[in-house]
Amino acid sequence: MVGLFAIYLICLFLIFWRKSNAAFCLVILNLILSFLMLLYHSKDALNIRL
Amino acid sequence: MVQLQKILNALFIFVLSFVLIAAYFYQYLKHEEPCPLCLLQRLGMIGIATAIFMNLRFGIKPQHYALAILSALVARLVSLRQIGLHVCPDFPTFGEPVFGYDLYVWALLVFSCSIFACAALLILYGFFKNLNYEPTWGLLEKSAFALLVLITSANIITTLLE
Repeated sequence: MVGLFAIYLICLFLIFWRKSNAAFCLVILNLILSFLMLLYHSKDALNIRL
Repeated sequence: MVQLQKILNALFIFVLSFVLIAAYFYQYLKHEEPCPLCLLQRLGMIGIATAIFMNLRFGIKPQHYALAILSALVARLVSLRQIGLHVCPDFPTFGEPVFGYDLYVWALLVFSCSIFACAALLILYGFFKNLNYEPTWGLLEKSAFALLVLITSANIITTLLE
């Protein structure tokens, strides 16, 4: 979870340094990771076996 | 009109930051520690604010609004999951309600309003997209950046300490 926040912090600094493509990709990556985190925390309800 | 869009985008960031600061108020003054789903919702708000901040730094583009809408949609799923966990009658809720609603219900409202706000800002952008816009780095942009960095860093530290 700390890593997801850290990725957003890196994103903010990439935006500050005008690296728009890198920041965009990192935000998309974070969205995918957040969704996977949600699935992980819901694995019992959704009957997902890891 | 370009200045108006800039101000509205900055206001969007300040409102989301205020919501996140209010969450800290509940964490430390009411002693309500956030669960993993609460942290994912905070992450969603930071995601929306980051996408809107791209408008201030790189110029207003529909892709940035699309990113904000995607962040809001993913975070809405998290809120709905948390609401689903506590919606049954006689099942205890998580945390104290605020003005009658739990914080995860308020989060769902915030994300829904964010989607509407992005749609409204996109309509505004559509009317004036032919105007030349050179992004600046003034007080508004600097304060939005500083606030976002502060809130994200605070979230990193408090999550580590938890």
